[in-house]
Amino acid sequence: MLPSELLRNTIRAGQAYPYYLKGEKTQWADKVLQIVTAHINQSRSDLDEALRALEGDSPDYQLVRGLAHLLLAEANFTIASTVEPEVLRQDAFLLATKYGHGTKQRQQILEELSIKHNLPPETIPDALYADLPENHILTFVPETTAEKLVDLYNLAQAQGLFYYAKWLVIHAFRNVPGEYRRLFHKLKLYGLMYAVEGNLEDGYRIHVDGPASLFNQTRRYGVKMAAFLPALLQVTRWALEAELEIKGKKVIYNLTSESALKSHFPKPPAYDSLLESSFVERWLKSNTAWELEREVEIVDLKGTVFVPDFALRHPDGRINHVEIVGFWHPDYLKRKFDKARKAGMKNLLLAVSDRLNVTDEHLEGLSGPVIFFKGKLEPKAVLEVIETLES
Amino acid sequence: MNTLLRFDQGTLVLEGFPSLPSTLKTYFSYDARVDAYRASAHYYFEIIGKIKKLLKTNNAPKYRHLKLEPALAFNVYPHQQEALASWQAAKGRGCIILPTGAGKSLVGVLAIAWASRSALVVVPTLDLMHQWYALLKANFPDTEIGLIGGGYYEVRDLSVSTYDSAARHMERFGNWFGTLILDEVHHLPTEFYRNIAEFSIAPYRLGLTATPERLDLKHQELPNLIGEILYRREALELAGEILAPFQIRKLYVELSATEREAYNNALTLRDLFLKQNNISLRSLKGWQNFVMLSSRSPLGRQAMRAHRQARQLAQAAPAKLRTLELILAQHHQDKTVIFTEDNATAYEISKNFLIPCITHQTRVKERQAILDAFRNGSYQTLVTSKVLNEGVDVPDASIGVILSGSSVNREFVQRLGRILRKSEGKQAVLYEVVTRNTQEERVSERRRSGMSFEVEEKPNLENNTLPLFDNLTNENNEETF
Repeated sequence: MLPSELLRNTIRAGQAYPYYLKGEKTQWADKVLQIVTAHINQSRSDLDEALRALEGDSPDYQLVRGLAHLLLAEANFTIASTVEPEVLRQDAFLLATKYGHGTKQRQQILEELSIKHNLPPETIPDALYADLPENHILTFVPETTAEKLVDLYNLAQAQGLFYYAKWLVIHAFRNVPGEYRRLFHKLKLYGLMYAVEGNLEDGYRIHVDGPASLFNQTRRYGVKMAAFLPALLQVTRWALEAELEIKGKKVIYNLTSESALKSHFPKPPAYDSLLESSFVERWLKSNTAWELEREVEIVDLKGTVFVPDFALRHPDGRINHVEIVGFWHPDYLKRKFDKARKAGMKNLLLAVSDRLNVTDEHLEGLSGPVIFFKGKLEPKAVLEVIETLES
Repeated sequence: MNTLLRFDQGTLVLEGFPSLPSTLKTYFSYDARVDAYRASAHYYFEIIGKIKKLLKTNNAPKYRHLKLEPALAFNVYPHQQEALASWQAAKGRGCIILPTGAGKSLVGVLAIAWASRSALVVVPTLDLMHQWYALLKANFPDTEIGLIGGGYYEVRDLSVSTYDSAARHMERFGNWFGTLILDEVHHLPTEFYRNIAEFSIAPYRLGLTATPERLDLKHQELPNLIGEILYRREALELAGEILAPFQIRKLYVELSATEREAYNNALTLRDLFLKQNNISLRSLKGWQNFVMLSSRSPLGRQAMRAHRQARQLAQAAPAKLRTLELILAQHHQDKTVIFTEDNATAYEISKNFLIPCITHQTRVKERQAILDAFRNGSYQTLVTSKVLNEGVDVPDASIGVILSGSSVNREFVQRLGRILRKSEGKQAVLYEVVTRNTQEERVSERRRSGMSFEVEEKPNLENNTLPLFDNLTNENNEETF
C-alpha cells in the first residue's frame, strides 16, 4: 500500500476514480526498476538522488516515488563499514568533550581516531554515521517485472481510495463457487463488521463497516478495508460501492470484479480439505440429477455467518445443503455445531467423520439430519438422505 | 434472560434486553448487525452507574484493582499537590497544564496510585516511553510494567504505550485499563488518535501537557474525551520558584553576498509563479493552493523547489555555524543543547563539531547512553532536531541554542523548557540564531507570539564581533567571523 501523499485520484460528479498507470506512463515502471536494480551495492542516498534526477521537474514525480516505494518495500539494505559507527562516534565525542569543539581541535581528534581505528582521517566524518538509513547499501531487490510493478501500483492506488472510506457495500452475484467463506474470514481478520441481505438465487448484499461506525460514520476502518481489497479480488463475481469522505465531501467509489486489478496475494488452495475435494470428484462421477455447487449460501447469524460447504440443486427446483465436519479440534467442533444449530436449516445435512469425538451435546437441537461416515464420504450416503428432505 | 455487558473492539455491547431502559438511551443504539445494543466505550463510567442493578453479568472491565503506593519518597511541590487535588475533586477526569520541567510526570504517578487501577500511560515518543517505564518501575517495583510500541507488545497491569500503538490496538485492550494517563495530551484530538480515548472504558483519565492549544482548535474536544482543564500554571509563574531563572538572547547573522543572491533569485522565481497564479502565502489556504498547484506543472515544481531552497539557505546559513562555534567556545563549561529544524543540519553539526546527536533516527539504547553521558558530564554538549522538543529529561542543561526552528509556539516553549530545570546558582540562557532579512525573522516573531518574555536583541554578528556575551564572558575571544 502507498502512503497517502503518493495517492492520486480524480473526482468527477461525486465519483472517485483512482489513477491507473497505463499506456506511455508505464514506462516509468521500466525506468524505476532499471535505476533501482542498477543501484544494488550502492547507498540509499545515491539511489534517492538518481530517482530524483529521473523525476526532474516532471509533474509525474508522484508516480516515480510511488513505484519506488512499492518496489523498495520488499528490498533489503545493509550497513557497510569496517568500524562500528556507534563506537567511532562515542570515541569522537568523548575526545571532543576533552579537547573542545573548535575547528582546530577537530583536526587533532580526527588524527587520533585515524590511528586508533586504522582509517584515513578524511573518511572519518562519513564513517561516523554509516548506520544512518541514507548511508545504507542496497543489497537485494526482489525478482519482478515492470508489468508486475504496474499491477502492484494500480492495486495500491485503488486501495488508497479506501483509506477515506466510511462504509462499503459488496454485491455478491450468484456464482459457483461462491468463495464466500474466505471473504467473511478476511473481513473478520481485519476487524470489520458486516450485515448480509439477499439469497442464493439473486445474490447477496454485504454491508461492511466497523463496530464504532454505528455512532458516527468514521474513516477509522478505511485502512482495514484497503487491506481487505486483495482478498476480495480473489473472489469471482461482485460489484462494490464505497462511500468516501474526501476533504469534507461525500464521494462514491465503484469497483467490480471485472476491473483489471490483480491481487498479489498467493492463490489460495481450491479446497479447504482433501475430504471436500475427493467428495466433489466422486460426486461428478456419480450418476445423479442433483448438481453440486460450492459455498453459495450465506446465512447471517448476526455477528458471524454460516456458509455450508455445498448446495445440492435438483432440476425440479429443490435445493438442499451439505456440511462436512471432518476436523478434530474441540473448539472447531463446538463452533461448527453451534453455527449449524443457530442456522436452524431443516434442509441441511451434516456429514460427520466417525473418527471425531462428537457427543450428544453437540448434536442436540439440530434442525436437519446428521450422518456419520468412515474414511471417505460417499455420494450415495448423501443422496439417500437428501432425497427424503423437504427443500 | 441473562443480561450481559461486554467489550467489543472499542465499544460496549449490551445483550439480553428486549428493549432499551430509558436511562440508557443517550448512550446506546440498536445494532442490527449483531442484534444487540451498542455504545461507545468511553461512556462506560456514566453507563455503569445507571445499569448496575439491571445487569446480571458485567464482562466489560478486565482491569484490576491494585494496591499502588509510590516507593520513592518525593518532595511534592505545592503546585503538584494542588494539581492532583483538583483532579481528585473532579472524580479523576480532566487535564492538568504545567510547564516543561515542573514535574508533570510525578503528578501522573500520584494519580495512578490514587486511582489504584490497572493503568495505561500514553506518550508521543519512544524516549518518553522508556522514561515513563523507568519512572513506573522505580515507583511500583512490585507491579509488572509493560511496553506497547517500538517493537514491544506487553499488556500488563501498568503499561506504557506510544500514541501510534495505542490508537492501533485500543480496540483490543480498551477494557484492560481503569486509568489512562495521556502525556502531551495535545496530540490526542486528531481523527486517528482520538480513538485512544473513545475506545477505552477507563473511568479515570488524566491529560498532561504544557501547551494544550492546537492551531486547528481541536483541543476543544478534550473536555469530552478526557475532561475539563482543572489546573494550569505557566512557565513565567514558576520561574525562579521551581524553575531556573532564564534569559532569551536573539543573535542575528547575515547571508554572504553569494548566498544573498541565491536567496533572492530563489524567492523571485517562486514569487513569479505565485503572482502568475494569484496566490498569497499569507493564509493557510494560499499555502495549500501553492502545494496543490506546484505538483501539477514543471514550473510549479520549480517554484516549490526554489521556496525550499530559500528556506534552506536561511535556516542553514554558514554564518550560523560560525556563530555556534563562538557560543560553544564561550560556554565550554556549561551544559549546552543545540536545536535544529531538520535532521540533516543536526548531523552536519555533529560531524563538524563532533557533538553527540539525537534525532528520531537514533536508536533507543544509544539515545539513552548519550543522555546518561550528558547527565554525568562525560558529554557537555548535545545537538538534536525535534525529538527532544517533548518531555524527555535533559538534566541540568543551562544553555539552549535554537539554530533553526518552526514558527510553532509550542516548540519554542518546549525547547525553552529543556533548560529550565532548577539547580543551585543556575542561570539559563536560550540563544535564538536568526538570519537577518529572510523569512526567518518572521518565523522567529511568530514562534514567540503571545508570550511576554523580554528578549535581548544582539546586533549583527558580521559587523560586531565582540563583546557579545558581556556579563557571561570571562575570556576574550579573538575569533572573527
